[in-house]
Amino acid sequence: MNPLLTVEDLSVSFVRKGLLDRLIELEPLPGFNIIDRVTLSLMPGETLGLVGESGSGKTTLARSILGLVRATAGRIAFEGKDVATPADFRAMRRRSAMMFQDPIASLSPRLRIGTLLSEPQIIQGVPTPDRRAAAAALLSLVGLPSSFADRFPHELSGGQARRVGVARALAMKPRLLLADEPTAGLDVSVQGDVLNLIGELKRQLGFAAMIVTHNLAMIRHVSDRLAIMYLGRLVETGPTQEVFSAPRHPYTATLIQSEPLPDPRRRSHGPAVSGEIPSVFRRPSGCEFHTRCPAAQPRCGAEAPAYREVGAGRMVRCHFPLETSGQEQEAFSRASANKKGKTT
Amino acid sequence: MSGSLAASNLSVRYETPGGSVHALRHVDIEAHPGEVIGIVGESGCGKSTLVTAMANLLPANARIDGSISWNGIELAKLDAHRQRLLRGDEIALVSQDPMTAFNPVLTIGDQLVDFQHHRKDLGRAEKRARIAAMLGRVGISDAERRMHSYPHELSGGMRQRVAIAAALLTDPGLLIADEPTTALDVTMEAQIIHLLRELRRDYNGIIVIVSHHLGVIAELCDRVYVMYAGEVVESGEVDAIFHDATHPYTQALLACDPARFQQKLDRLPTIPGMLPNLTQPPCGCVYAPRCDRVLASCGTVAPPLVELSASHVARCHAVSS
Amino acid sequence: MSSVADASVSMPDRQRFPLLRALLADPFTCVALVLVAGFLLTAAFAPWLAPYSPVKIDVLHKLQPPSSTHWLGTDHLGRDLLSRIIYGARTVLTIAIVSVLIAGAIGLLLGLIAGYGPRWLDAILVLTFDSLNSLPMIMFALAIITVLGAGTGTLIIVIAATSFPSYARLIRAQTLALKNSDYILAERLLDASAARIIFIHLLPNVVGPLIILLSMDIPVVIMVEAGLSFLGLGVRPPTPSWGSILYDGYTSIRSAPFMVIFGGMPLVLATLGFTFLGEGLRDYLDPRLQLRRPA
Repeated sequence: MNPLLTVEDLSVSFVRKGLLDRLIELEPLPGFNIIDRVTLSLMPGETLGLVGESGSGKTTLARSILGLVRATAGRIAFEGKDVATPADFRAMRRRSAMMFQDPIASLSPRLRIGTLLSEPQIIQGVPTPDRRAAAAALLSLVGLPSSFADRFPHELSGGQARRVGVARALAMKPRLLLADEPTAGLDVSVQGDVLNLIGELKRQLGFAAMIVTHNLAMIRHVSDRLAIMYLGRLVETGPTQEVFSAPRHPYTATLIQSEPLPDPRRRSHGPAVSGEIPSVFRRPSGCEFHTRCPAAQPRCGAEAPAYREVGAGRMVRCHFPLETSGQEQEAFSRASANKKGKTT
Repeated sequence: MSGSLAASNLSVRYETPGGSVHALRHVDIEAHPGEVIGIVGESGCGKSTLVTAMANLLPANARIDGSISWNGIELAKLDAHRQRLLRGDEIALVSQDPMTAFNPVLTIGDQLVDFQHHRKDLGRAEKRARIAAMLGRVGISDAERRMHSYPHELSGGMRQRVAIAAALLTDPGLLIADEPTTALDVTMEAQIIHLLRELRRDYNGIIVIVSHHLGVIAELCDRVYVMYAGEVVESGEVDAIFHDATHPYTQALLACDPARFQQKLDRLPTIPGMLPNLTQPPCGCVYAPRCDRVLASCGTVAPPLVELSASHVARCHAVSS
Repeated sequence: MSSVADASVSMPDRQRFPLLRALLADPFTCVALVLVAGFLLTAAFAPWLAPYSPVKIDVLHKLQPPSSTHWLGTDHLGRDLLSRIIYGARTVLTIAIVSVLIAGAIGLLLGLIAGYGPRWLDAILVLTFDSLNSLPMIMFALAIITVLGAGTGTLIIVIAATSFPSYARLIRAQTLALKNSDYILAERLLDASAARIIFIHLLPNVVGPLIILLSMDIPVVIMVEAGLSFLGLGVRPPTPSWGSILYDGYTSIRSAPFMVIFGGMPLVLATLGFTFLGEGLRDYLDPRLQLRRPA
């Protein structure tokens, strides 16, 4: 099977220019890569979880895939065809959809839900004889009564606005859904609702999804594969279950360990990682994680590790990937627990 | 300074043009020096109202019934001046986003000096020394340099550390942390949790942690109050709540947390239904419309407070029968 | 399918005429509405309301104090003052409302284009707004009047041309703030045309503050008209306008002080009316104040 979406060496860089630089424009300044040579692919019908903390560039990556942020380098292919020109991006956007982080803010505030739901058809010139009926059908698809068509966005609760966002995203039967933090701001009891809905519709309609999130507990249950980002680079990819049970990159391991468990009998023994997330404008030399890595060696600060395959479908960017055996894992967590005893 | 916090049969309603909103109804809470209590619940459960009531910051349209007292002093009956004194001196609040708690045009050091304005006995240099010591205690290594920073120059995790330092400077008997890690990334969250736990060792006041995040509550608290629609539906030792929950809502809430499941689930558990309208709270149990163990009496009779052990209580008909 | 969100949730009661209700709730705005409506009706029905012709000269009865035949007296040419004020309302309000509406429409359009359009266009438009803003109004008025001659049309052109830049700047700032909001990004992802984004999604969200500003600028324009007419640069005699009445009153202030008083009164009332109406609208439309409003 061919991938639905391929991203190769995609970079997005912001050049920070002062006034003087702009006036003289001697030489192109070295840009700061918000996204740095990201390579990933998505199979039809697959769900990829794109995980990272704030500042990791996960939202920028999602936006650059759809052409909302212009990539400075790299290649994107959708359904086997290269996406390069604005017309290509337009064609791709017709076959894909994006859900934004804030569901209410992504709905035009002065329009009613019914109008918002028929907008995709109006814009793309799809003849729709009965727009009200089409809107009602979309609303029922996401489990909302058709009376919601007369409401305004601010009259919805967070969960309901999410559902409307899903309905709007699916109006044009996309092949690809990009969801940016689809559960942000939702209570746990509602969060499951929205994710179940997306999962159900995925089975029904067969689209592929990329879910951008920092919520590990959630993504573990809804994704097939995971891609972990740190400072604009992918540090690890692999099947979700494998990544969770045996993370190979120390950053992935610390992320999993940092998640507080809802169990007072299994309290953590201290933070798995110390220090602050550096800024992309001051990217550490060598491996960008070496400043915080509990297993860092001298080599890590000097030489950037390659992004290499360490098993079937597992990629990792680390000189010393963690071993898969349980003992090593244990040793790692003990080492990290000791280390922070000193730092904090 | 240390003392006990107690709320008994506390009800708070907001008078709005659309009617009275009964945000809190007959809440009983008790906390003693050295304890960390957790208040957990989803949006609309009344936890922010409870926090504002504890910190004495309820808006003018709030009406209080019942009692909430700090060290035997009835908080609601204090005049504005004494309320301010109490807030500055004995009750400290750490909010979700500390950025809004700091003045953006003053340095951290200057603001922390101002926080100690009630300490007339200390000179400016002594105050700055206390700040440096306190910043060190919350894990800020280059305290002297940080005191010259402006709030926007600090990262979210750093700001939260400074906010905790600021709260501790007044040596409060009651430290309320309202969603202290919600705005932070996981690795920063873990650090703040660790910091709060470290602080417990040499702090003998009360810490109140308010959060919707079950993991944070489990990590930090000794005793937990579970709130739903303005009521405390269950309370008890943290272990009892997480391992021996009896109220159907507590059970459902715990079951919803995806962090509990190591294996991939095809469907995530949810709680169907919606919160009741708090302008007309139901006369029976607030959770009855969504409960899967609902009895005939749940819709009409307010559920009794069932004592399951010395410290574990639940407000439920199904548990009592 | 997953659980249906509760369909029985009552719809927020949408009252009829919410704007009017909200405005009438505030006593100041209520008075303002009555004043503004009064002036508008006066202007509309001037021929039926005025007891005399505003231009009929009767030198035998010039500068008469108020009496039962001439309620507000007569001016230095014996014209009935009340009739002149009533017809003056017509002149003044026409000029004020038409010029403000023209300026508002131009400002709205150019502001949206500057805010949402490409950067080079924005730069050109902002330069235009700034240069027009820097012209002293009186000088500009004098220049236009020399070319076109004094009169109602010229006044409207002068006022519209000098006031649209500030409206355009307001709309541009609003548009810039909304340009990168999620819902505009979402529309761009759907490949909505620029025209669609500007007119369907941006316009309704930026127009609120403009309406407030326009309402509060009407009294300013009334004053400007009065000032220009007072200087002899506005409407041409014998057309009555509040400014020319004041001018006439000023020339005979010693023999008939009532003329200035009665001539100034409507100016003051109209200014108050439109200003308070603007404030009322701002209270209603400003999202930061919406929480105060009953749901």
